[in-house]
Amino acid sequence: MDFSTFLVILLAGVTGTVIASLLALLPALHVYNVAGIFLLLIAEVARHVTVPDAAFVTFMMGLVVGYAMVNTIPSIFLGTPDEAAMFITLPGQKYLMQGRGYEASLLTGAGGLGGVVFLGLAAPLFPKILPAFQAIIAPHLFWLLALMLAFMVLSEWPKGGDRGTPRERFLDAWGSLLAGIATLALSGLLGFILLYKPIVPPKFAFQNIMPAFVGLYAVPWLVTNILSGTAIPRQNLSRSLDTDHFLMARGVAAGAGGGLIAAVFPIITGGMGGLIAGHATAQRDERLFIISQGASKMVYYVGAFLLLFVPGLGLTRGGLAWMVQSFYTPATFEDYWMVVATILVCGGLSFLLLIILSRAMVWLVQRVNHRTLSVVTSVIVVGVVAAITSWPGILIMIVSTGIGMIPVFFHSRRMNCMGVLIVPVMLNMAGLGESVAAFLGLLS
Amino acid sequence: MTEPVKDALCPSCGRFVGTANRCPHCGAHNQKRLSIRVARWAAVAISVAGLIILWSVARISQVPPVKVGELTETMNFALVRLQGEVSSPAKVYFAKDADGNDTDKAKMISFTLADESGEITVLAFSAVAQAIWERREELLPRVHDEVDLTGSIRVKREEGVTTLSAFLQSYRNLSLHHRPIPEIALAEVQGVTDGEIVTFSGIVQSVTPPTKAPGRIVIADEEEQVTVVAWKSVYHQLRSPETLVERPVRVSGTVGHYKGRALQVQLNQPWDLVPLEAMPEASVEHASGDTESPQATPEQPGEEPLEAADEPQGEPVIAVGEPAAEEPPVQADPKPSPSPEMAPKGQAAEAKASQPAMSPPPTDNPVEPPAKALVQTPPVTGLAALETVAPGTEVRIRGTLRRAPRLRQKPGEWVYSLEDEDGTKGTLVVSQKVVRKDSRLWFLKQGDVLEATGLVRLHRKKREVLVREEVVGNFTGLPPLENLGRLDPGEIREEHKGKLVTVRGEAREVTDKKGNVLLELVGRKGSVKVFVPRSIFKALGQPISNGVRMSVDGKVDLYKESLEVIPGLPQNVRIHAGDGGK
Repeated sequence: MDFSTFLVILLAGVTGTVIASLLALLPALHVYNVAGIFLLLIAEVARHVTVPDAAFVTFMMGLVVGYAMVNTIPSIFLGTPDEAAMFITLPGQKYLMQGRGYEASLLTGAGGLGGVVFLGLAAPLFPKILPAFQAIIAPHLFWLLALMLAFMVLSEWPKGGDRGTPRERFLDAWGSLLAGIATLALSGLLGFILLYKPIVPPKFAFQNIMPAFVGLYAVPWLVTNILSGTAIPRQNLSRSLDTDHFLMARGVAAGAGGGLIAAVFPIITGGMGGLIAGHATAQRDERLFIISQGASKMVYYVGAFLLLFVPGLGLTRGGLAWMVQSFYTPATFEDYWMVVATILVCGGLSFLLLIILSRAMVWLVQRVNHRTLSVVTSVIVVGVVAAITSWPGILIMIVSTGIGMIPVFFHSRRMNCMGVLIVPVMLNMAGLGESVAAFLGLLS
Repeated sequence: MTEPVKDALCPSCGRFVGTANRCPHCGAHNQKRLSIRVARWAAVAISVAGLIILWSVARISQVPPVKVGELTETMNFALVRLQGEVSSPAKVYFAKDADGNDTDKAKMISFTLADESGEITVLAFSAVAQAIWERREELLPRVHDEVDLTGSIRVKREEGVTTLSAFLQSYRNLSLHHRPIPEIALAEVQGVTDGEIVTFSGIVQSVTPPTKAPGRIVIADEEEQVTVVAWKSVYHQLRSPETLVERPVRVSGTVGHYKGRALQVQLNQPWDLVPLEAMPEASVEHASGDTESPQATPEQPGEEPLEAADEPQGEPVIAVGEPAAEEPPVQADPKPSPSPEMAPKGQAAEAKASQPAMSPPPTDNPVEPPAKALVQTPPVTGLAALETVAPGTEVRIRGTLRRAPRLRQKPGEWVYSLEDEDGTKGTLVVSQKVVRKDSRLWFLKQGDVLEATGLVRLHRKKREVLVREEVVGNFTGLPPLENLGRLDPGEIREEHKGKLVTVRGEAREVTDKKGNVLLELVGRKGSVKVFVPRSIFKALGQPISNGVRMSVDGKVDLYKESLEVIPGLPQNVRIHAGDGGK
């Protein structure tokens, strides 16, 4: 590799990180929602100019790393919680209401940086351990997924108040639980329709599921922001982080564990992995939670994409890996180590960007109405869906939004929306998917 | 700073309660404004009503039919309808038991479908594979069956090569129209083109169980003998195969040549070997030299040659053929019924039930002379005369190349379109193996005259002449090409013009010339230009970047006073390392 090629590859990674970091500032805009557009653009550019495969790969990895690190900013600053629900809300948002949003952002970033270090240290072991691990768990995925799904449903606790008559308390308690189960069932049904009879034009089928995710996650967040905005207290820019080395190590270890579960198991997301790891390690400290969330996010997003490159593994996990695989499948150790290096470089860069962008966001949220930001983002995400998937995608997005709003309005876990993938995939693994699809009349 | 929506505050304590109906702090009821209450239940209504609409739309929507050639990277996960012909036998992979033996539970079935625009691998897994396996007589495809299916597309680009797969979501999404199998005399098997499926009868001479190699059943009549091979998974489903010795049997299988030499017939399904009570009359007549006994030559198009040795050793792979209940039309009548007690394991009852079907009606297949005699037919030179020549006949043809040769990816053959002096068009097909060995074939272009000896075969119902290594393709009329072997790029001189060289070095100044690629190959002693024609660059399936190390076999040419090395085949360009080399 000559120096100019090296520079192109490096530049591609850095560009991906910077673009993703800026896009990540927009609330609810997931990098996977726009990655399809980048893929189409790159494919078009490659028709006219010779683009080294390596640059394509590092650009995509840069996107993921940048997003995994910086998306903590809108989740802390622009996803303001209900004050009344403070006791159940995420500690990061609690920090924000205490004027420590900047510190929460950096604590999460520090966790993310820990996740990057973890991936760097674990990278030499992945090609040796993961193929064997995969061979062992592959036949058992069905019941493992079923267990996780059961855990997700059963571990949801009643969120009603503890006042009123027994009947009122009973209804309060079961309201959110039933809403969670309903969300899971409805999103599972949606998943069956999308997987067995997709209505998105075949030409853009690689973005089949994107409108559903925009509807299930992005739009409800934006609607919530627009509907129930709240005052953000003055934010402090602290010079140090409220943690120590031991706490940091514990947080990164717990987060990396959760992230790794989510990365390796199909369909399991970072939130679910974090939930399982959190319960497994019985973490209580809020600082620990914030750090572990940063590490978990990083290991989940980046690790899942990295699995595509692990020689001898051939595992496709995460939306981006599925998209990229259509265009490029890595095969060599050279590819693998190149993306590991990209993770390290882009991880460091994205943390620096996080510091700068967190400061910028502190300045911004106290001057700009964040409903405006949410409206702008809404226009972007709906525009992306319409541009790529046309009216069928819009229809899917509207229906998904309805489902995604249920946990918002009825105070249940939003991760129940993952039923859109978990339910059909799990039933397929159990050999029941075809029968259910036939029952629903979805087989042509 | 943003203000909270008014009714998001508790009317009693004034604290923020969001969308909750009762304040979690003071327990006061918080009657929402209509907008929020409506929004709350609208979410439920939208999701339920929307799902019903989406479900209805999905149920009534038609899956769009597409051609294989139209599939692109962005169509990954698309549900499409594909129609075409089965171009390779179905393979069934079974789950194994604790001892490593195959169970009767299919875990994967694969076959390839071809239409006029390309080829795609069709895959069925777990429950879908098992459902097809359970309905194998109806749904397990064999070569040349017409197939109509709906599947989810997977497009994968690996090392510059795009692979297409269609995943069957249900056995209900697969429909087949089986083509009949012609029945011929045992002696005629060797005249049949590789890849064809035929049925013939004979007496079992010996049975060798499979080891690492497949099981072998030698079947003979009074004139000839044929070896039938069966992979372990098929062999073990035969019922007491060792008791078949000296018993008459009827076999359906795929004709092929092991390593291009020894004739063999691959048994694709256990029920394709049917024990008989007695030799069929037609076979006996043929064995006694009755040349008027009706025989058929398969009418299916030629397909990729079967090389059993290429199958993974010990793999539970079955190349699947025609199920017993749909046995082929037979020329000779009457046929003895199969003996049910000798049917493959688990098939005895089915064999009994299918006895009437084993006396099939006469076929409509055209009757052709015995293949053995045809092999001795004098070669023809006129392309027009090819239409009257039976498959398997050796001929010599001569013609002018109408266009540059093109590569037929599967099974890896170069296609030369020829036109003879009468203006008749014909096709010469040369295996890649032969082309790779004969460098004279690398640089053929439109207008070159080519003369070759090969075997006539059918491909998509058209006759073409195939040159394979074992036939000894005897090309004439081609100028000799001197091979100078390996030279440093800096050593290429003008006197090397028209000669074949191999150069190795680092690619620099890679430029795109309307799809062709021109680069400077730098070696230790200097450099030389390498011109990679568009067709070769496209077939490489990977970019050539500055800095990659590569080797090129090519002919030296002079263009605009500059020496160039021009490769003739994609295989002539080998990228060793660098970014573009992946």
